[in-house]
Amino acid sequence: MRGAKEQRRLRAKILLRVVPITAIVMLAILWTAQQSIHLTIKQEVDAHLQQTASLTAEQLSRQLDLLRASVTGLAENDLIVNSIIDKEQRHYQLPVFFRSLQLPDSSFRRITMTDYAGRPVVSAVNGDSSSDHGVSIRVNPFRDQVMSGEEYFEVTPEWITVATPICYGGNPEGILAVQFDTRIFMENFQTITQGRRLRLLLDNNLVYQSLPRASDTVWNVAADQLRNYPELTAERAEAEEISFSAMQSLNFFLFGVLIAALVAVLGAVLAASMISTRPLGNIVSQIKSIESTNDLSRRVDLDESKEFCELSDSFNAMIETLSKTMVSLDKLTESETQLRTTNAKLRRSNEELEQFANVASHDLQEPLRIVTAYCELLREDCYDALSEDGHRYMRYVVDAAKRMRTLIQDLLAYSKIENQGGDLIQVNVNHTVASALDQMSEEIDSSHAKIVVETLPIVDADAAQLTQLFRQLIGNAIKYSGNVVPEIRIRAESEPDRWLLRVEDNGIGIEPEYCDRIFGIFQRLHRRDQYQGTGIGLAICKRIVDRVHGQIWVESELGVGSVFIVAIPKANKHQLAIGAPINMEVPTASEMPITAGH
Amino acid sequence: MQLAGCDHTSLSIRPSTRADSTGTDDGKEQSVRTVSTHGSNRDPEQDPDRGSNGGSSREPVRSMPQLEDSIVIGIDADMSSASAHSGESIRRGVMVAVDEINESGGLFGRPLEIVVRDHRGNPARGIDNINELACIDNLVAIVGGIHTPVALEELDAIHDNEVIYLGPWAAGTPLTSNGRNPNFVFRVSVRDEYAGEFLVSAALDRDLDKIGLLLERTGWGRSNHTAMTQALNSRGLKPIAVEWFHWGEPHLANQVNALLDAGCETVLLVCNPLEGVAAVQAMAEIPSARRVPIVSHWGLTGGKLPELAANSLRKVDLVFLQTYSFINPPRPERAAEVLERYQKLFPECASAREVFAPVGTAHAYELVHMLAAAVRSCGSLDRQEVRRSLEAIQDFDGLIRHYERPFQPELHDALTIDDFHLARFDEEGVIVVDDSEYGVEQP
Repeated sequence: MRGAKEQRRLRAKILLRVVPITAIVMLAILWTAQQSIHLTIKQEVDAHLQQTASLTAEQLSRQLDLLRASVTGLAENDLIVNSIIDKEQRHYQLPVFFRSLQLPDSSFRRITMTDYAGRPVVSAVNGDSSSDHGVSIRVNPFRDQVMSGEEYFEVTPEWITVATPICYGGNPEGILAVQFDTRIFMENFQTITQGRRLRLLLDNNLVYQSLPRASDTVWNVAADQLRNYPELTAERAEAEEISFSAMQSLNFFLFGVLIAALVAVLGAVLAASMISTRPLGNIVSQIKSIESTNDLSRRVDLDESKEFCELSDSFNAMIETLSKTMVSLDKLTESETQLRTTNAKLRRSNEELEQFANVASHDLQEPLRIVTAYCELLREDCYDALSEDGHRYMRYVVDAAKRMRTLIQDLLAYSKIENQGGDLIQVNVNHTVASALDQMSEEIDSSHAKIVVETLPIVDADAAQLTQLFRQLIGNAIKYSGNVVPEIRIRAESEPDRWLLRVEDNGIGIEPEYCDRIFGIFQRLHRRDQYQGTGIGLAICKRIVDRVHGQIWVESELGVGSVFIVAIPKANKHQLAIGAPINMEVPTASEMPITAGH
Repeated sequence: MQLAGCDHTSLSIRPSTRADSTGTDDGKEQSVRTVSTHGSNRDPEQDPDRGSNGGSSREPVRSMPQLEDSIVIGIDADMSSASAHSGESIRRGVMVAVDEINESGGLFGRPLEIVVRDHRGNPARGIDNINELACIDNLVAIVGGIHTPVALEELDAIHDNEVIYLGPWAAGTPLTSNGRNPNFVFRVSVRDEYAGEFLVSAALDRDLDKIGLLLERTGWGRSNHTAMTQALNSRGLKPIAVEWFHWGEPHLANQVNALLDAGCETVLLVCNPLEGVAAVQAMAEIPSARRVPIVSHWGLTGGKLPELAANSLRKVDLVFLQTYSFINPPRPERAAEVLERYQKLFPECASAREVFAPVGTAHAYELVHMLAAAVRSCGSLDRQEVRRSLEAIQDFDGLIRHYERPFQPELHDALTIDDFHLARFDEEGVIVVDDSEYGVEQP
């Protein structure tokens, strides 16, 4: 039931979302197509109409030329010319000739020959048009023009009149005037079918129109001037219902296409939704079931087409991955909790340890001072009472107490590295080394050590602790020089991400297997009677380096010398510190170390 | 040939005045002057010349300022169309005669004045010209032009207005034998009746008895057709073929070929200058072996045929009728006097050879003197009186010959067939007497 309901809902949703949009899109496409076709057809109709108008104008112009040429040719006819001269011919032959005339257009109505003064001499009428207008053409209005040698041409709604001089010996001696019926001429000129119109305009005034005015007809109009007759314009028009008759058919067709397409889309969407919504509904209902039960162990079970099976398989795979991911997350959460607990314990332990070390260091010094003081008093007061062994034992006690005090102080110093260090700031290592050498000047003098300091960089560190680091390393180099004069070189190397600060000596060296051990706390490689010390110096060095997230290690060869390398990360891309290298050489005890550039 | 002095407008001449119309620029004192005409009050609709370029932009004569003491002689001829040479030659003949008369004191002590009208060979213009000239009160006569068709159509106007018409060139028989009584037309020129006989005789004298006629289809052509046919008929002959043509026909090859096809040995031609050119050119285009001589009436001498058909003329044996030549005048002493006055009025004329269309000048000259004699004889300017006086002239000693009685009531033609001779164009296009026995040698 739930699946069927989901299917109906999905189907309705699909239909509502797809069909209206599809219908709108189809309407837009069809409207655009209809408009485009309409525009194209209109352009075609206009172009065709314009072409027809131009053709009509050209043909009309030629036809008028022909009329005029026929009249001009007639005026040159020697029978007519001779009739100007010969009375007999004029009176007996010319009327017969005129009546026999068949000028090239059946609109020919009247012909008149006048003398030089425009007085009618011979006239003839073709057809029955003489009743209202008489036989002769009245030439007086244009007599002067024609007798000056020019042709007269006039178009009126009634007549096309052509008058031309009859010349003899190059001089006008009479007038030949011919009139054509404008309407018949135009109707003979071209047959106009229903819905089409031909008009002839004279200076924009209507001369001829093939159809009576019809106010309810909308016309597409094109016009063109007649060649050789600029005042005449041929206008062709076509009723819009004729021009766009194809458009009406097209509109019906497009409307049918629209309806058919809508029905097709509706059917297709309905069918597609029916096909797709059933398995989709199943999937949705099963997913909702899994969601409601929060049971990731359940899987979607579908027996549908390949695509839906792939969909359900993918969903199942997703649930599988999700369930695994949820297990890992539990473990991760648990590990994180443990880690936090451990860290808290560790932090507490460290704090307690530091507190303990701090307290122990301070508290242990007091009894040691008392032990030492009383042992000294006892040895002084009971000097004589003590045997030689007693004295030796007392000395052992005092030495041990002093050594224990030293150990405690060293341990205190070690513990302060982390807590009592300053902020890490940019430190010019040149200054730091110079400061260390300055503090060790006495020791350097006494050892006659030769110290060369090259240009060193600027690094992020605690300046005091860095000075302490170099004091320790230089001190070790002097201390473990053996029987040779110590020669120490301090220089820096740049690697992409870090500076390597190298302290090189020519001392006794370290066997390779001890190179890592020496950085442990209270680790010693020599007996106390050979080299004094608690063995905490290099451990402090390591802790200082650790604090700047660096590394320290030693490269050494026994009997040749050692190189202590301190690697400090480049927090910023520091250049080598500005300043000349420090070349500190202590050749003799009396000479002070040479420091340059600072 | 330049028509010096021809302005084709109405003009009048008076004694001892500069002849502006002569076109000279040498400053010599001339014996004629031009009087221009002025505007009119005529109804434009009735003004036949309005807007016409053929009417020489003249104004109505009624309002023309006239010298009260002048006697007007009108000229109505082709002054600007294809036969303008003829009109100008007539005008010059009138001017020479008027100059002589005015120099001798005029008529009744009144100067003669000339008014010229150009009809261009157009009868309608001619009729209007006659009507207008006839309205001039002091006008005593009108001298006509070369065109018989024009003159024939003017007959009604002439007689309606009772104005004396002096014909110096138009040869149509019906012009003088017009059936009017009284007859106001007097002619010192060829009469076609005689011309037909003369031309047929000329052809037959050359043993060319297969005669074809090539005639313009006008009253003049028909007049000659009648005369020539009668002349042939009187000899028991008839035309081998007759071909007609219209004024303005540019080519006459069809007609000429038709005549030759009919077997004509000669063609008797009746035409004016423009069609004369077409006829000569058509004959020149015929292969020489087939070409035949042309014996022509004189109408073709009234224009520029020698200029327009110079090449064709060299190929065609063309002779034509003439009545007078200043080169070989019948009365040399009289001719010399006239030529001297002619050259005085028209100084560009260097010799008798340069008197173009000489028959027009000689006939017009003769007619004006006959008119003057008639006026003097009757002592009146009344046209009826003068007309009767013309008919009554006795023993008139003219330029062409001595006339015992030039005009008789029943015959107003002063010249006879005896006054005719044949002429031809020489190499320079000058009309010379044809003294060859058998025409030019065929090229």
